[in-house]
Amino acid sequence: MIADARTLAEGATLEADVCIAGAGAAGMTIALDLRASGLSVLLLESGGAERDPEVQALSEGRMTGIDTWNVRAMRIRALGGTTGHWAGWCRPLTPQDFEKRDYIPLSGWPIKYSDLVPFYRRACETVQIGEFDWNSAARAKATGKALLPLGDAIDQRYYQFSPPTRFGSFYSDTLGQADDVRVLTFANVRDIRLDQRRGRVESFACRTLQGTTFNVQAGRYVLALGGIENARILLASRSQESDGVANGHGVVGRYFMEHPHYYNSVGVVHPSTADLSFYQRGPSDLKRADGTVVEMLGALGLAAETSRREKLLNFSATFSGPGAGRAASGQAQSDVLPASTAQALVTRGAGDFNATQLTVRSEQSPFRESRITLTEDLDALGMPRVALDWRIAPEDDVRMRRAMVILARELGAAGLARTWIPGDTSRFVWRQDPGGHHMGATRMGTDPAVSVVNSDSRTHQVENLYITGGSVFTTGGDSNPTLTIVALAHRLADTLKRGASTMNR
Amino acid sequence: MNSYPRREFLLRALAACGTPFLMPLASVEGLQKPQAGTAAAGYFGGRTDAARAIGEAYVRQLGLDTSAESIHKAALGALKVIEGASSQQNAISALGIAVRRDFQQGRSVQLEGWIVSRTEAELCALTLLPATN
Repeated sequence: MIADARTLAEGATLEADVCIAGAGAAGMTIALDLRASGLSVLLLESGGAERDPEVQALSEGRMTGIDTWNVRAMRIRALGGTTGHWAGWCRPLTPQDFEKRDYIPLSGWPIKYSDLVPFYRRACETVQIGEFDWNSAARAKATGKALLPLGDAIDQRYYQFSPPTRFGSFYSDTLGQADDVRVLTFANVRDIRLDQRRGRVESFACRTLQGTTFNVQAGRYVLALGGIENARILLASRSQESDGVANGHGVVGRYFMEHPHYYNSVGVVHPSTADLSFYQRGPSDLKRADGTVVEMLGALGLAAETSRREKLLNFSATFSGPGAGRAASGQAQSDVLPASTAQALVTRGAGDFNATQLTVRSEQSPFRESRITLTEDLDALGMPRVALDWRIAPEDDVRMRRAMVILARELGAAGLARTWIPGDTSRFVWRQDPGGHHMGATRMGTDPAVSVVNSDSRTHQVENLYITGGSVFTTGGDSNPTLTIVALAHRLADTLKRGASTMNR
Repeated sequence: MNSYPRREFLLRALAACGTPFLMPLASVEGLQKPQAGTAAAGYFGGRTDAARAIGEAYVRQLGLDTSAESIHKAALGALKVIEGASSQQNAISALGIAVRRDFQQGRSVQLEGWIVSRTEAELCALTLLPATN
């Protein structure tokens, strides 16, 4: 059933076994999984079926660090959440991403890659991509496209593309027809109320933009509000604890991570005979459950061993620009890469060449000073707005440049290309831009001094409060996060089901 | 007085000074051993304008000037490869191998933004020789 909170009676109390705040990819996935589980589910969504500027304004905030585009527009408050403008890029984190790396402080998830694989498999179906198969050699063989003949230092990988699945339009009807799931639109959580012991959530205090207030009482509560809003509601729930909920160690909001994107930042000049078709977006041999073909895009990164040995962060580089992979007759397609230099270095005076660019998507190391805080400004619900101070550890930039040099050497060693990495004053820009991926502000870990949730996604301090989404990422890897967010949601749904007999109201 | 081209004059002068920069002289004398500047230019397909710009950046990065003596100092590795070759064509092949080996073994430098192999950078420097005459 889908209902509108604006029709509720003032002061109403709603009950459920599980209350999920946020009907984006994570919240909807959990609700879908909990159908017919014996648990009653209440799914709260701030918006409705369509985007509404008045609702969207609730996400307004300030950016005080690196520009993260637009806090207000980046996240969508409507059924389906930010999948409403998701581009569909899918790739799992790597096994290495889950491991502790001594050279990256606070790295190491409390779960292993293998723990998440069964949920990644389910996530592939949920986001409508092909099977959980990330073998580039197999993909190349099946599609008749060639991998670049690079050495072992380089990991050749690829993205699968979701249609993309707009969770709101694709899954709302299914949830609406579920007997045991109630979806309540235009419902905003304003405060998390704890019991006297401060160890359990007693209720969510909610409100509509029209002023109707109501309470939700549930056995267990899940925050699935997105990478920024998860931290915001915890920090803003100060009616009982001055630092907010689940924030006894002051970790909530800290360690905010993005994927620094270096858009079209690295120049690559290669003979026009080079076959880059694997690295252009196109059909794969993979099929969705409905039999349609999944698109893919090849990318380059460092092999785990290289990354470990050189103490570097993970990254993926994709070719871009009109010349990528096309065997057109050669003129450098950018006046930033002088044709004469390309001619000299790449074809040595004989033969055509193409110039293209790499967009590099990087991991950032967890950085305590990169954080979300509350401001004095209030939104229409009376909730403090956020200040987002996205920062990157200075050594991260050095590491990324070093990683690019290694990639350049490998391309040179294979006789494939010459690479151009900009300085700060070049027209190619080496600048950390965001990817719109908000991670880490309620991170997962075993130590409450540096994490907010445990390996079950349950808060360390509040036993019936769970958090899911990008905010629980311990480290972010370089993969676009949606597939992992959905996998974690499937995993949490199973956790909630397992606890059904002991954790109900 | 003999009217040597300026570049050849310089090479003879270098030889007379006792520098080991003898290959150009050998070329001038009509022997078959490859000549450094010619080999470098040949490596780049005879199009040396861009290579010269990179070569200048390389010697500058090393804190050297573009005198023949400095270029010689900057290009010892490439000169050794050329010296060991029996002909211009062999030298160019050997240089190609040396460039790839540089990349494999991490011997690269960044010049004007380009990541080039050390041997490549040295070859670029060698293309400056005519300009120093």
